[in-house]
Amino acid sequence: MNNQMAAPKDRDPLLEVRNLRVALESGKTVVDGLDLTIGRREVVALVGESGSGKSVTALALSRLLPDALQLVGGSICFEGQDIVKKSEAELNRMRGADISMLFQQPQVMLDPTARVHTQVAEPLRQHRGLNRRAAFDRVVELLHSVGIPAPAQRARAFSYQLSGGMAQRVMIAAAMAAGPKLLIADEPTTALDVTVQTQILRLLKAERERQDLSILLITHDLSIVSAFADRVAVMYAGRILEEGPTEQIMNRPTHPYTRALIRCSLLVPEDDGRLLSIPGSGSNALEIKCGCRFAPRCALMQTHPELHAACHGHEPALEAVGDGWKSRCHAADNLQHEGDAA
Amino acid sequence: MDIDMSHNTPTPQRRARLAVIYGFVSSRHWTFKVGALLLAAVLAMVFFAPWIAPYDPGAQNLIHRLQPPSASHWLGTDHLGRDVLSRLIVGGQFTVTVAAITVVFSLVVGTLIGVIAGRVGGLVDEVAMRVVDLLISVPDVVVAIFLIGVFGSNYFTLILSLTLVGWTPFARLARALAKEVNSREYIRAAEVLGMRRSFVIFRHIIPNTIRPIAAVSFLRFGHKLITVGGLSYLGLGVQPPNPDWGLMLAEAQPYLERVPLLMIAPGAVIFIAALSVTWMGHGMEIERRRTGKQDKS
Amino acid sequence: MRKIVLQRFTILLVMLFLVSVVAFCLPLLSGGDPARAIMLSRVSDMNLAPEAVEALRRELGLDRPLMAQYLSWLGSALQGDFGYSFATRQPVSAEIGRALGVSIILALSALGVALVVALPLGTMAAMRPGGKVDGFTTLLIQTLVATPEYWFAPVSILIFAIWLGFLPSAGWESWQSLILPAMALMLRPMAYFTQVTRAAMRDVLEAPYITAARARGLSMNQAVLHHGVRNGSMPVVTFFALWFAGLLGGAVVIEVIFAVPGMGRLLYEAVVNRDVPMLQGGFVAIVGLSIVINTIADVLYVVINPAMRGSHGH
Repeated sequence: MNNQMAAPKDRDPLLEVRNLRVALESGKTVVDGLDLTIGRREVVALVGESGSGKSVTALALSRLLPDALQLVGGSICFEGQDIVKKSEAELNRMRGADISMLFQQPQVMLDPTARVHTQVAEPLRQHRGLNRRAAFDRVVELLHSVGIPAPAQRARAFSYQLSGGMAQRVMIAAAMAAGPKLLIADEPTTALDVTVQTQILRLLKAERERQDLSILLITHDLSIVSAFADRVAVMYAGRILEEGPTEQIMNRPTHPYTRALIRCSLLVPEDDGRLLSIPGSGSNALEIKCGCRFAPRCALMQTHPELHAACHGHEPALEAVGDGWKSRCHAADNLQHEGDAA
Repeated sequence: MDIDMSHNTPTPQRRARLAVIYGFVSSRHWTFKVGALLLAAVLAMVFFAPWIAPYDPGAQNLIHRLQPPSASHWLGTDHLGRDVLSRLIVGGQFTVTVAAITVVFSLVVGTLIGVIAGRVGGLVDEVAMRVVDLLISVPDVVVAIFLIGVFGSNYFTLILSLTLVGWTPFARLARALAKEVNSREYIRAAEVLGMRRSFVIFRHIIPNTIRPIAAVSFLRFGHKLITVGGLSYLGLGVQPPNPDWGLMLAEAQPYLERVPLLMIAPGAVIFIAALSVTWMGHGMEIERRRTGKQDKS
Repeated sequence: MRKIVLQRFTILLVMLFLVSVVAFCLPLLSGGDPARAIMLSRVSDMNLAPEAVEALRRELGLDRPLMAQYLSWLGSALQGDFGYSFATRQPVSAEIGRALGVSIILALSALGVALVVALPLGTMAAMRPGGKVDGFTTLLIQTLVATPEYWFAPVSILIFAIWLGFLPSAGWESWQSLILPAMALMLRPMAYFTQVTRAAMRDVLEAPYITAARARGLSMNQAVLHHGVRNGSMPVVTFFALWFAGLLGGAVVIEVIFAVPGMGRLLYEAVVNRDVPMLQGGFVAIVGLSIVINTIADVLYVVINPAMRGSHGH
């Protein structure tokens, strides 16, 4: 792994999300004041349990939220323009051209009644103005470049004739067709076999090297994160709890939640021989209006009763704990030093 | 590697069971309530007809024929001077009975076939469902008319012929439910936990299947009412001197221009009876969808 | 795919066989003497010579075992010969052919209009679930489904033929005579088409491939046009075929009310006239056609829908 430290971020970020808020029609908040920055050619991983609002964030960033969900506040600055303020026509020009998406289950994301090439060609015809013939030729090239054998034949296939891995390659070809600057990949490998997962990730990495591409990788798989992402943002109950360079966060997490996630994912038994799990569920954490949202499940609080007052009293802010490294925990400094000592 | 640590606490089954019981009476959707009220009125009218009817429905009075509505005859009189209101009240018996029995038979036969197909699977399932698919386009009126032509018109022929094609929607639904119920997590969980099969069936399967089947039953009942009324209209149901909604419509035909009410009234009663069950079925369907959504979230 | 097609046609053949057995045997088994009925239809004299009836019975082969009679009937039926009507003395197949033409026109016009109304209505209802159009549509569907066509028909005759007087109240002479029966006939299919369209469009609008297409830069309208319409129209097309199959013979009441010489009325008159060959032929034709059309629609659905080709069943 080339150890390029996080690219200079704050100078000219590609995408800057500030205070993003998404709510259900009923008023229930799903994403609650999310801040996120993605630099140019940077891979940022957004991790969290299911229900933490990761996928909703992905859809919100390209303004594709279903009717039941509404973007109620915040700004999404992409190359200096606020996506939140864009008209539907401007959004249509942006989607697929500047920002592309990948989804969890590639096979259902393809129209079962349309051939592969018509769908891969859509960004080309829509944004590059290619005619049908030229688009088809380009589609074959694209399919070839994402490692699909016999691309000219596969271009005429239907989605049901493709394996999950093949379908995701097709989706990548379609996403890359118009040369976007940002790829939002929502759990692109979760539904795939482990061997195929690696291939797809390798392919994404290659695309990123080849083009001037930033990737927002949404996942719950921390092994992917450490192998792939420059920076990590840990999401919980609609908010970022910790954000920073991958290596530092994976080695010395400064938030008890990040810590627990990493420990769980390692599957290393605790001292008493049991596997660690985080007690309780995060699904109701959004209802917590006062104090830290992770407090009810926090292991640190159980061992450090002196934190009770602070953690239940008011919610910690997302504060810098290092260079480009932020954490939303009252005890972040202690945890960091603990990690240094270890 | 899955770090999904959230555990959805299962919705309390007790609540679901109670919901099914109360679903019939206290479904919150207004169409169900209005429909139930209308149906109750129609059924009460049919059951208590002999006591409610102000006149003898067969009593003719040729002097006062084709009368407009008046204080003594609220809906006027027909071409033989019989009281229309009394005939309407009594005239639902045949139609409602045949439709109701047909639906019950269809339900039993269809559910049986559907559940067997769903549980046995394989070739049995394949053949049963293909037969269902084919029968669904066969008009029930045609089968009924054919069998009436063969055996003559009576309760038995009508019920038999309407059941012959009427079981298919129930079979399809029951099969789908049987398949779904088989795959439900909590049922497998209950079986793994070693609960008795009958317990699983009574506690989980039946409560979860009653509501959709009831919804379909109501909708089918409405449909059968119209079919039976149609056969009566054609003179293939109740024979003339006896009052019947469909027959009254047919008998009113020659007086269409002079006394439109004679034709409008019996049609309206069939319409209201059919609408009542359609609304009930619709209300239950909505309720089911709503609770279904709650279960998922 | 070949397996599905083969399987469907096998079941179709078995069903057709069963239908033909029922159609032929039941009218013969149940009381009444066909030979006597035929004689009556020819001479209309109650004092028939028993010898003459006996001779006719032998001539027509009615004294043979039922099995043999069935086989010879089936043999000629397969060549399109269902014998002669007792009532009209015309070949049954010719009568069926005429009636079928009428029924096809009636069914297609009713279903065509129903579809033209239902498609936009169902789509609009699907666009805003719970909205005004949706609420109105639901109410309309409920009402239409519960409306007896033999109630609507006299009312429409009263209004358009008697009061306004610009449409014929019955008969089958000009295109105007088509309007009232088609209107009465389209009520229920219209309701169901609207319901199916609405459900199909809801599925389509929420389909993941629509979101994916929009993520590639297609507008909502483009996405629905390119990827939604084809997917959404399939259930509607299947439904149309089912209704067409059902209405060819199922429009009995309407055909009788409006004196339309179609398949439904043919069967009805066969029953009223105790016309055994007509009853046999008419029943086989109606039920047979409806399941044949049903099977063809089903197979076409599999052929058209690429996703179905790989799998089997639903």
